[in-house]
Amino acid sequence: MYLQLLIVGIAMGMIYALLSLGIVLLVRAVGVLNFAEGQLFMLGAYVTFCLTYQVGMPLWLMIPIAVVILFLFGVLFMFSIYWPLRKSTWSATIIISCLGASSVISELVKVIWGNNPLVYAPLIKGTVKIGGVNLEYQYLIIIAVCILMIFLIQMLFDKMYVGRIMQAAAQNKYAAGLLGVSATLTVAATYGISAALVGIGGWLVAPLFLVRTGLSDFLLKGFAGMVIGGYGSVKGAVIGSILVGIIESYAVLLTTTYQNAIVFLVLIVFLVIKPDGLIKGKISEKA
Amino acid sequence: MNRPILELIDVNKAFGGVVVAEHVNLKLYPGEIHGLIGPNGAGKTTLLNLISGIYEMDSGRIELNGEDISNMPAYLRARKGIGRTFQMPRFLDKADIEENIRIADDLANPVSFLKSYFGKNDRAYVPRLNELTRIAGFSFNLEDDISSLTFGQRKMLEIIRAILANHKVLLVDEPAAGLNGAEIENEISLLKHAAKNMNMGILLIEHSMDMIMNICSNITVINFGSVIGNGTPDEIAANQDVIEAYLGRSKDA
Amino acid sequence: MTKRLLNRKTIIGAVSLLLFVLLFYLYIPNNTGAYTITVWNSALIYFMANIGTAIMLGSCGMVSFASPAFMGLGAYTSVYICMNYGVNPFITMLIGMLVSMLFAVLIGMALMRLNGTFFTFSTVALCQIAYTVYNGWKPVTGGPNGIPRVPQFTAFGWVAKTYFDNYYVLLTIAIIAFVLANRLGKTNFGRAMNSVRDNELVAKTTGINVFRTKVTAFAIAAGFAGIAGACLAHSTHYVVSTYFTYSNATMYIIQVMIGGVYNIVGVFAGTILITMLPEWLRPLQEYIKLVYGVGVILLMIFMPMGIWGLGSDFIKRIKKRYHIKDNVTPIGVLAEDQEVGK
Repeated sequence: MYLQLLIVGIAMGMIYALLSLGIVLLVRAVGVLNFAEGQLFMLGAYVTFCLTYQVGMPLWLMIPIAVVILFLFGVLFMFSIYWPLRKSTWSATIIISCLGASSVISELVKVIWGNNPLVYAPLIKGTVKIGGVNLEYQYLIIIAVCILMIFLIQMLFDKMYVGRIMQAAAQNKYAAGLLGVSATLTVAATYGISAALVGIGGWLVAPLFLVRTGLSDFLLKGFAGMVIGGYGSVKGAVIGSILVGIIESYAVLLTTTYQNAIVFLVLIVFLVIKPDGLIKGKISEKA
Repeated sequence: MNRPILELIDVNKAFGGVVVAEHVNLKLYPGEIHGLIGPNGAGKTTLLNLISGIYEMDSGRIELNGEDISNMPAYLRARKGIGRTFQMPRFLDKADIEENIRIADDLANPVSFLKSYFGKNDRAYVPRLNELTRIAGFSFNLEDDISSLTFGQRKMLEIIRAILANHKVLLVDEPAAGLNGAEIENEISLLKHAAKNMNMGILLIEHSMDMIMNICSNITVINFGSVIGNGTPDEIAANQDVIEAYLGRSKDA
Repeated sequence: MTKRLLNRKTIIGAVSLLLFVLLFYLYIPNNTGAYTITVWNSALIYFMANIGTAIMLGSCGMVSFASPAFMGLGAYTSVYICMNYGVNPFITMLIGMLVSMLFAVLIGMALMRLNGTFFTFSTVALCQIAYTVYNGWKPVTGGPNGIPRVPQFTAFGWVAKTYFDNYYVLLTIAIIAFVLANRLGKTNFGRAMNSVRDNELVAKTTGINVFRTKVTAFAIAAGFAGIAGACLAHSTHYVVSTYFTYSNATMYIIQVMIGGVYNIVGVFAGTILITMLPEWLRPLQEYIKLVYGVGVILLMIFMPMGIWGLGSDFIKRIKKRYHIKDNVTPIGVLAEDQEVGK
């Protein structure tokens, strides 16, 4: 029982980690909190569902195509939601515009795929016996894929030239311009990567939670993980999110009614006790 | 010159390993314009931030009129009488000039919330504002936006705001930077007015040596966070350490 | 000269007040159906809550998603006291409001240690926690089934029997709320909030206690939300947890932004517009939220100050066109040229 909860917790935590990474990438690149990230997550579930069942693609073809579609959608998102408002002096405008975008995406999905939840068959059916309890294979797949994705993102930002340039662009637009980096392109690419990343997350949870617009609520847990881990830090976001997943999972032992409340209570306690998070992010305010 | 209005006693501050203030002692007397000079990055603005309470110091003591204010938050220090201006003038940029002035008036003449809620829109500060603006040599309408003022006018309005708030100590950060000759003349009369007629103690950071030598009665020189010289303008001009600190850096100035 | 212009302002104010009273007290209730009046009722309730959100956002510069949480607190408190102890709804509503404010002070003291985005997050979390509690604490809140037969407004033997009666009650409360809030911006506390919004450094160096200002603003916002929640319960005779979800919070923020955050008249317009739009655009019912979404994005791009911003730009243009001069106070000119200051 405890082991099962732990694995489920870690798996869900990994999903939250993808979401919080998606947010962190944008926070670091453009300093904007994307309130529509949950909708991009949900869109990932719908796009993969559509490609698998409605187009009928095999898995090996579906994944790259889905990634490309989500990436392009992210770029489109950037040019329609972020770009026109980048010079706005009123920080609330961009939050509101993201809220508008989230409602647009949700409603478009409803118009295209209808209101009813859709069933996505798991990659490997059935359950595996671990420590005397049964567990869906999907949880293990989630953990494996997420570790891979997190590793790739870490590589991209810490080891590869492109990632460093992106960070440079985030920290100093003028200097990045001198380097010959088009700020527009890096920001667009960051949005694309962020959308693809969370979209894959949506694909991973679809077999467990159905393909439905309510998937976007996962965003809040991703937020929680990011804040607990340390605002703007990649490592912190991953650790914080896994912590959120585990807390949420074990909260079942105490209460099912207030499971959500416990997670957010922990978040608020964290915010108050340790507002910098577990790992201090690279974004700190100048006095 | 009786007793200092503001006194810094052995003030220390480091950011990580970088020492930005080391054993700083400073005395500011009422009615005095006191220059604070030093090469770029010497820790001048940091010192203003320590005095106004925006940074906390690591150790040391700051006294305002004999009262220890070392552990007071910034807003309480402002209420006790420490005002300041910024290198880049700071205002409420989504509000009009009137509101920007009114916040200073609220500090100088605090009234209860209920009185402010039910009372009439009091403009008792207008005559004084008028006088100060005339000394500063520009004009505007109270209802205008802050953005309708030029950079120099904004810097002067910041000083006017601090004067209207009836501060006892005024910390001025590079008032002449970015201003033209005529504006600097007006600004000097404004600062002199504040020191002479209002008996304010003014601590002035400035790079323009002309201005410093012209209006300061005392000068403190700092470099790498510590005081390397202190005295009247003539004494400072003859001080060997100071000349070295400046000449050593003069290439990148 | 000053006197004459002042008169013009008073006349404009009096005429618009008269028009408002005629329109809202006489025209609307007599020309709307029984269903539409309930929509008007909810618009008025949302408006009360939105005043709080607008104070937080427009004056204090903080995006808060907490208003459903405090609406719920006000509603459940009022309903609980009203139904268990038989107290008059008007009194229990005030108690609900005070309880909301009290909680807001306590919660605010924790949350206001966070700045900007962190604060916004924590209000999202607060909203979720509150919803979970309202949904789960069945003995008090009735959970997802809600509490039916909530007592209606009554005073001195008069009972609000129909939705039209409720309309008059809500309209009156909304006007009181409007008047109270409108004056707030012109007080020293209003200026303190604005300096917190625009520049915390300026606020601190002019003696403003930033933390206390924020907590107070949060409590005031919670008070407006609390009274709105209580009104919602008593006017619909029902209260249920789904009234107080996170998605409601996003809708409130959108209403405020569409109206224009700086002005409460704008907030009123935005709230009415967003609440009534589904009624006016019946044929588009299916796509209404899509229209909202696109509308909100376009609005933020082209008209970030909302309806009020558009309106004041228009007035400025009219004034320029007909050479109407504003009543200004010149500063820095010679003393004999001016006559203000008294």
